[in-house]
Formats: sequence, C-alpha cells, structure tokens
Amino acid sequence: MRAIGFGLEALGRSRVSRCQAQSLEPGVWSPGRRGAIEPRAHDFGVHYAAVPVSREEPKFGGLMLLCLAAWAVPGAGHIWQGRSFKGFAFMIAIPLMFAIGLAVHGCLFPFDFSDPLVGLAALAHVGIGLPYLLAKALSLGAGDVRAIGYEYGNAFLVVAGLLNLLVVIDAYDIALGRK
Amino acid sequence: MHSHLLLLVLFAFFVSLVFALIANDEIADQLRFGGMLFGGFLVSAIVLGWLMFPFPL
Repeated sequence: MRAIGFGLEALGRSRVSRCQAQSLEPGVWSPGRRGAIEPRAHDFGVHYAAVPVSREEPKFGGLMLLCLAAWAVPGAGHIWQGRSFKGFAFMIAIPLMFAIGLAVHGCLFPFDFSDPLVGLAALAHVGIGLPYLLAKALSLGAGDVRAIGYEYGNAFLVVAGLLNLLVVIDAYDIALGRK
Repeated sequence: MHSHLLLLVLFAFFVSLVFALIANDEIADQLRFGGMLFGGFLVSAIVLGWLMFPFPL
C-alpha cells in the first residue's frame, strides 16, 4: 500500500489532471487540493481490521478465577465479561435442567470407577459446579430406578454438567479473544 | 412429570438453547440454529421411535 501511496503522491506532485486522476482509480481526486490524489486503504484491498490490534494479554490467575467462577455458577463467566444476555440464559437454563433431572428421580452417581460409565457420569455431574455440591449437601439425587423419569433424569443431570463445561470453555475462549 | 414426550421436549429445548447461544452471537442466527436443532431433536426422536416400534423389547 505504501508503495502505491507514494506513487500516487508523486503523481499528485506532478500535476495530474482531473481526467487522469479519475482514470487512475483506485484513488480519490480532491478538488480542494489541486492535483492531489488521496488513496483510500480499501481501494487497494487493504483492510484495517486485518491489521493486528495490540490487546492486553489476560493474566493466568485472572483466567483461572474466571473459569472457576464460570464452573461454580453457570453463566457467571459470561456475565463477568459483559455478555449478560447469554450469561443469564445459561444461569437459568442449566441449573433448571439439573433441577428437573433431580425432580424426576435421576441419580447422582458415586465416584465408582470399577464401572467406568458410573465414574464418568459422576465426573459429568460435577461439571455443573455449586448446584451439584448443594444437591449433595441436601442428600438429593438418590435416584429411584422404578420411577418413570429415572433414565431421563440421569440424562438431564449428566448433560447439564457437560453443557456447563462447554459454557466454561466458551467463556475461556472469549477471555482469550478468540470469539 | 410422567410424560416421556414432555421430558423429551424439555431436554431438546434446553440443549438447543445452550448450543444456539454458544455457537452464535447474533439473535437471528441463534434463533435459526436453535430452531433447527430443536426441530431436529424432536423429528429424529419421533422417527426413530416409530422405526423401533415393530421390534420386540
């Protein structure tokens, strides 16, 4: 761009006529400045948005705190970064999903890795953060295999935890400026 | 809550909502993607349910 720009300035200094200036697109001929041509960046396919903008690198401690908050309270990471609509939507939807799972007699599985699926399901449950700890503290999630909603409840509980982990990753990406 | 269909609809709604919000930033895109996901969940569940109907338990 610089080379072209200098070239056009040189042309301007050599008194380019109006007709010549118009035929020399891309470039803008300014009637106020006799013979001057002011090149515009986008005329040459240069986009200022493509130029890397220096931004402050997030600190590791701050990132960890953000991820911890986003894990503990679903949507908190988004609210922290000013994405309130998304944050509040997550804050309502994911715990509600977890609560429905408990209400239809879903089971909060123990950390028993002798049966890998049970252990992995327990890890997925922890993904929702504070609601899991609260449910454990209140001895909820005993599960009732005879209940009609047992399998659905398990699906709700596991998926709520996994969705919150996705939301944490999304908040992390936003903090790094990837989104 | 004894209705499997209601639980299916709720599950599809919540999952579609979260995925739509994560995947897009514009409201119109979120609505389009979330609607497609929600419809896909429902249609595929009902179609697969009917396909499995002839088979014994």
